[in-house]
Amino acid sequence: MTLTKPFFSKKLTVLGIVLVLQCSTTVPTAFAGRFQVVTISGLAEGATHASATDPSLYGRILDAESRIGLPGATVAIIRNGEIVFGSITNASGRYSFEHIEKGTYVVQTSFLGYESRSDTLQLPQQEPYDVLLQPTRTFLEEVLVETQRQDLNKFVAGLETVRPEDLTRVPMPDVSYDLAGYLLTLPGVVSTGDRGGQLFIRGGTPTQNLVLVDGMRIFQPFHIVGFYSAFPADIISYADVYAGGFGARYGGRISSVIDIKTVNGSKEKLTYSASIAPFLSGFNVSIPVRPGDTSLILSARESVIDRISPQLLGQELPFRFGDRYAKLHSYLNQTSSLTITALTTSDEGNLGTSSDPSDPTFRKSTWKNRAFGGKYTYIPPENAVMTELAVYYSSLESRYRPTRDELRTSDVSDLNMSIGFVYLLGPSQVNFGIFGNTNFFEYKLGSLGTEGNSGVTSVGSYFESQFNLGKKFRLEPGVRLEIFSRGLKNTIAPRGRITYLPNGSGSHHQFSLAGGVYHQQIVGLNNEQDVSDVFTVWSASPNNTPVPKAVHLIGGWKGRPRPWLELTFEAYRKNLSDISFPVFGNAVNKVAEFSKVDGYAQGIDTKVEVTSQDFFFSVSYSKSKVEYHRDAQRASGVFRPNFGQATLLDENTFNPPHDRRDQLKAMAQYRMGSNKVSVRWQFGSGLPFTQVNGYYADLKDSIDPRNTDFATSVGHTFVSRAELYDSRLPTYHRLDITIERSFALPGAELTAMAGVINVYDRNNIFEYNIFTGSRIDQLPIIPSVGIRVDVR
Amino acid sequence: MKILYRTIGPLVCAAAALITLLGCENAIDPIADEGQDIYAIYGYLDMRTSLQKVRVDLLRPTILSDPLSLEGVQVTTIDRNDGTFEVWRDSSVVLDDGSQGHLFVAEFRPTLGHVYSLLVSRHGAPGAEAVSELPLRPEVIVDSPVGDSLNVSQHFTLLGVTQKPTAVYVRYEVGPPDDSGVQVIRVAYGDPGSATARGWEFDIDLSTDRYIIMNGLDLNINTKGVTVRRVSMEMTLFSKEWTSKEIDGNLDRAHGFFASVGVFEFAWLLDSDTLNKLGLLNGQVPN
Repeated sequence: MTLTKPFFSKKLTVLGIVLVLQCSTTVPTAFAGRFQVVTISGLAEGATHASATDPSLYGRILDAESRIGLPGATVAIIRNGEIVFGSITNASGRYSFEHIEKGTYVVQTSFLGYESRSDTLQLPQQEPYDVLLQPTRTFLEEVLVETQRQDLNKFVAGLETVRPEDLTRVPMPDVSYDLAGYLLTLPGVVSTGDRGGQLFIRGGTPTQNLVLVDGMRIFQPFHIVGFYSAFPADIISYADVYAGGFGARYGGRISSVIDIKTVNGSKEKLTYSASIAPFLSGFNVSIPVRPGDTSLILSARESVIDRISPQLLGQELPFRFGDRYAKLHSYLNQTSSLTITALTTSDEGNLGTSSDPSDPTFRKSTWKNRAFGGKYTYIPPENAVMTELAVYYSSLESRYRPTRDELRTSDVSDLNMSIGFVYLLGPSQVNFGIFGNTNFFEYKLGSLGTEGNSGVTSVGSYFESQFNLGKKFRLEPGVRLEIFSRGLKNTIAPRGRITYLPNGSGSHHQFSLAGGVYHQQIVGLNNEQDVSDVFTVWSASPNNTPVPKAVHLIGGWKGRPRPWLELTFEAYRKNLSDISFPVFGNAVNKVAEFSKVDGYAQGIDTKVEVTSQDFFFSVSYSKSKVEYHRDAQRASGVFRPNFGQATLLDENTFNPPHDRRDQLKAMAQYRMGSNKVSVRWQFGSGLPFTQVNGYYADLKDSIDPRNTDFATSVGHTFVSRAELYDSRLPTYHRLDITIERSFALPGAELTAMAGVINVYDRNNIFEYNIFTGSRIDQLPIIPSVGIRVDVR
Repeated sequence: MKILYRTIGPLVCAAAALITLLGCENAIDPIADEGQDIYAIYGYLDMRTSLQKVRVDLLRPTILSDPLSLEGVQVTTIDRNDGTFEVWRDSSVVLDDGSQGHLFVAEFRPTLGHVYSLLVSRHGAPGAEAVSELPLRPEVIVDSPVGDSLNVSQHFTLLGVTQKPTAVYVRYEVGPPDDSGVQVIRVAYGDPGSATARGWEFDIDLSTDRYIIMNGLDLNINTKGVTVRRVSMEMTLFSKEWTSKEIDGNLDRAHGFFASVGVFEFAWLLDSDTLNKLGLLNGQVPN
């Protein structure tokens, strides 16, 4: 056989490996045993069909993009739901069936890495039946991903895999969907609200969440309007959301992981889409730079709500945000590929009560993410080892003006390099990698008089494996080692998962257990004086102190008692230690000092999901508790305050400000032809905050046994705080509804949307400044319309 | 699908009930109720004066609000050792910025080693309490003087004293040669000595003091016939609250600082040999 195109050779290599390794899973045993296998060796190369008798059905299975035959693809002929014939294509992708009784059959064609296809045919058929299969993934990397999720119903405790179709169920104020909106519907995910873009996952704080976009760490992954993540939904292939118990390949955060994989652009034809809506408008274009080999995706989104809200809503929504994304993917040769990705985001908003910059309550917050990097993937043709070399850089610049004349800044950057190896050992896998990571921090806290810069570097390795233990158990042990550059103790973190299938792979019930040890060498610090705050200062964990640590244990059950009904239950516990938690003395506006606290987060998450052809409904309930304990200690300075003495702290046990005890979330979608109605309702119990007893003039500086100056001293204003986080904010709840209608146009699809966010105009609190008494609510009732055009 | 609707119906009803029950509450109360009975207290009891002063204020509800009226607020002290009860009176003072403040005063002189409770309350509501114990009278170990006539010194140990005594004076009552009457010469030692395992230790330089005495009596340094009638020492001692002003463990339902200052005085006898070395006469009368 002559290979005229490298792509073909590459694909054969890839598929050859996959076929060898995955044969037992791609061709089910039952299937292979029952169908009448046609002898494909009898099919001569180049012949239209090679049987002496006329075949009942014959043809080729081809790659839809390259039109090259796919060897090893399966063809199944189904009647009344039963597979009556089956075949595997030969080296040129040909197949043939004989002696099929006259009748109507469903012909199903499939191949690993390609979208399956089913057609209803009258057999026997004289004309060749050629099938073009659309590749879902075109390289071993992606095939591996496909292999990992070949059973989409596989249950892993703590893991929720989000697919693009999931995002379309969430009512949004525009027509483009978004991951952030969907994450808010997951049980165990707590948000401070529509503004600010902060997510707390099962007791973890936003700075304890690791968010990766194609391997790049994104420090502030959500826009200032909490509906939106910093990247469009169009680019998402899938997202693995680990609420805990994540594997050894992930590190640097102790609570959760959101690992987003993006799609590659089309290498065959130009496609693009555009949407216009008040909140967010944007476009996405996929360009085949070098047809067959190289694709480029460009995406941009920009909000316009700040400019039209006075006319649309009669009030100002002073938020402006946007993002730009680009991804170049190229097959360099038969065995390697290169991916280059870049993402920038910008957010700007006034979090104060006044829109007048000269007003004392004007408080402006801005931040910019920048991330770029590349990944080189190599697959040696002679063995089943995939090697990935990745280099990524990301940064976050935060600016915050608490008053018109004061500017606080915080910059953090992350440079990450890694080499990963994936060994395919039949149904088992071994992942091994080494990595190096450097973070730089710089902050200036304005009138608080504190500034500094620092850095921390770490190197390490991880080992992770997956293997079956009989038919009922699957084990995934792993370990992560990390060594830090300065003052921080080295860490060893064992991790593991086990899945139990009572009846093997066909079980309607699955049980899973996951756990591990996690460390985080950098800390993100917020000002807890305000009920909610979006300005985060990143810093290294203080020298010569233990690195913040968490131990996770998650157990869960997933059942599917009916085809349309899915039930999920998970219980979790995260033990936390050496967490840096800000503390404030009685001095007003003194820079935060930090204490070390231990604690735990525990809870249960339950979910009921009903799915039928036209109807989807899910309801979830979460019960959780987060508690921190602080031993008596002297507050220490991540920020090294340059005045005053470190505050002496009493022993205390308290619930931190993200301890939302109860959450109820419901979502429904109903399709009527080309119309779609989506409804979402969320309820969350109130978050803790610290009340104030009042304010007083502190005279300690002027009290001296040598005089009585204190008798007439004015002193400094101090605040008296009540019991730490002993009071609760009002409950949070909101109803969103959208209606969509799709119109098919020649070569394009038009989608129109109308909706209302916060239907009953609930005044959910976003921020309350306990010093000034100023309150800012989350988004009011907002009607919205949008139009989207997809050109394929 | 009937099961489906049977499932969804109750859930929708439950959600509606939740909104009704919990959804209406939307107010935030940033000020804790107990804050209205918490006070700011600054001051100290002072043995050096018979007029005691303490600043008292109620907490303000906001940063910018004016100080609250102290109408009905009563400030008292109780000497826990002997039960003496003092009622303090509110005297308005003009603060450094021109605003008005509340300075409570009482006329009494506290006693060394006594424990005082300062009570602040209004209309019988549970109020604030600040407690301070005046320093205990320390036991003094006086070593025998050492050295020759030009360098005679005497070592003192204040047993159990951990904080530096200040304003230490040695007080000499002396009679000049012309028998013109007893005069008092005070020699200032400042804040002498250092802490040891036994307490606070320091030296008195008797030879140098002799020069000061002669100078105080306006006599030539070699004048003979000056008689020492009495030798004593006085010093200011501080209560433990002065060690760290940030610790306010002695305050209940109050912020601020409340402490005490004691004055300690003791006398001792200088032996005749030492006085002879110093060229002084011994006229001391043992107690």
